[in-house]
Amino acid sequence: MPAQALLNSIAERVLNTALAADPDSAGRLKPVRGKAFRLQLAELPWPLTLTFCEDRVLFMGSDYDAIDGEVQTSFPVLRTLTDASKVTAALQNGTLSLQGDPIFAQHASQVILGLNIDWEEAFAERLGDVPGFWLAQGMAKLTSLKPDPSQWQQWLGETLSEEKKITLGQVEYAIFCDDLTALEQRIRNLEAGGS
Amino acid sequence: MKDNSQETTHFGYKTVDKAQKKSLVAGVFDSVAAKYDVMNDVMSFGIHRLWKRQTLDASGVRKGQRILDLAGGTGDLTAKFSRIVGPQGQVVLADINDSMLKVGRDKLRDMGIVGNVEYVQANAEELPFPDDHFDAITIAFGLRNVTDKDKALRSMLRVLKPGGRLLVLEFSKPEHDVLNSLYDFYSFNVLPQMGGLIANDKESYQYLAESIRMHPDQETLKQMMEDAGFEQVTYQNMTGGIVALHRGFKF
Repeated sequence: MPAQALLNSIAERVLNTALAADPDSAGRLKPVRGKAFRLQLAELPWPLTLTFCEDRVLFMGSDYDAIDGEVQTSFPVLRTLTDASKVTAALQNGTLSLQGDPIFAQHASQVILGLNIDWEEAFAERLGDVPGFWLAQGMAKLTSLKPDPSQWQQWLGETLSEEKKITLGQVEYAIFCDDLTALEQRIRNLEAGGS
Repeated sequence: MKDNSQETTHFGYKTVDKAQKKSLVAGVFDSVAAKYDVMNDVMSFGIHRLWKRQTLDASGVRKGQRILDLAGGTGDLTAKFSRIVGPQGQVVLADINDSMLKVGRDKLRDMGIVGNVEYVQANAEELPFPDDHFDAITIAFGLRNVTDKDKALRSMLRVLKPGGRLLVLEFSKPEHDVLNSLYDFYSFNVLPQMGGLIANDKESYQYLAESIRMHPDQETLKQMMEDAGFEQVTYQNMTGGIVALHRGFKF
């Protein structure tokens, strides 16, 4: 319990500092105000339980039982909550379990996923204009260096299929499928001729 | 023949007249009110905030409810309750001690918590509220200072709505002997010295240590709550039983 309460306390402080620095947070909190949302991620040892207030979010413990909506999923599926069509697909294939109003779940996820902070202004308020500017520039540079997963996927695909010839390319795969279809047809013809 | 046990009670390790205890406890809290929050953080290494978080979790409080934070002192729980219940709800911060109530009121107003909080100076044994009035009642580190605990529990039951719950957060008995010995050493040697240094009030913190030892243990308090009429009474030890959170329902 103390570990959970301590981590909740730290997470609450961090999130509320971020929400205070985001001028649009009040608008995102409005539709979920007074409600409690529970997020159970497969990778975490206990659920995240959030109660939404006028200008902040309170992190409650797993004993809190006045829940309005609950989502059980994993980190990779979590981002799909922002896209209604993907939510439906995740519900159908069982990677997402939802109790309560789906619209509430979407609004609740947007409180955090929709964070949009002007880092330069946030740092400047706490550290002064010049350090704030430098820190914000540094963060922007770090963000630009972040690897793009789609580019990595393309590079990996080309290396495996074109350079190393470990897997088939798209054209080779299509030719293989055509050959397979033709072979199936020949077998059927032979079977028909034989009988 | 006069039954002496009906006329006396504990004030720490001392035995005093029941009529006298209220003013003695008042003296302690008048003395510590100004430094109460600082001392709580120093004495518990900040862990009291985690214990209160657990109380909040167990309360199940939601938007629009009416909550009584009894012996609420400087308003730590009231602040959180106020945000959860929102403008449609209400939180009553009640304390027998006017000095504590004033400190709590100033602190909450400085935090911008106004509108749905009411401040009431009240004795837990004779709560000045109608029957079936509150959705939840909390009493955190307050019950051990009450003169007649059974009477106070019955009073809480009366003002609680059917379906409502009482949460008692209080110092209790550590589960392990080693922890108990360390805790004793800390309570009787370190704590009063710290009280002397920080709050310039060694005696009040000596009383604090003694009053904790005189408070009923986990099972005894559970039985007292059941005897008062609470149902489904359970308790949860925290930090090895140094503190216990009791929960009971009124049906």
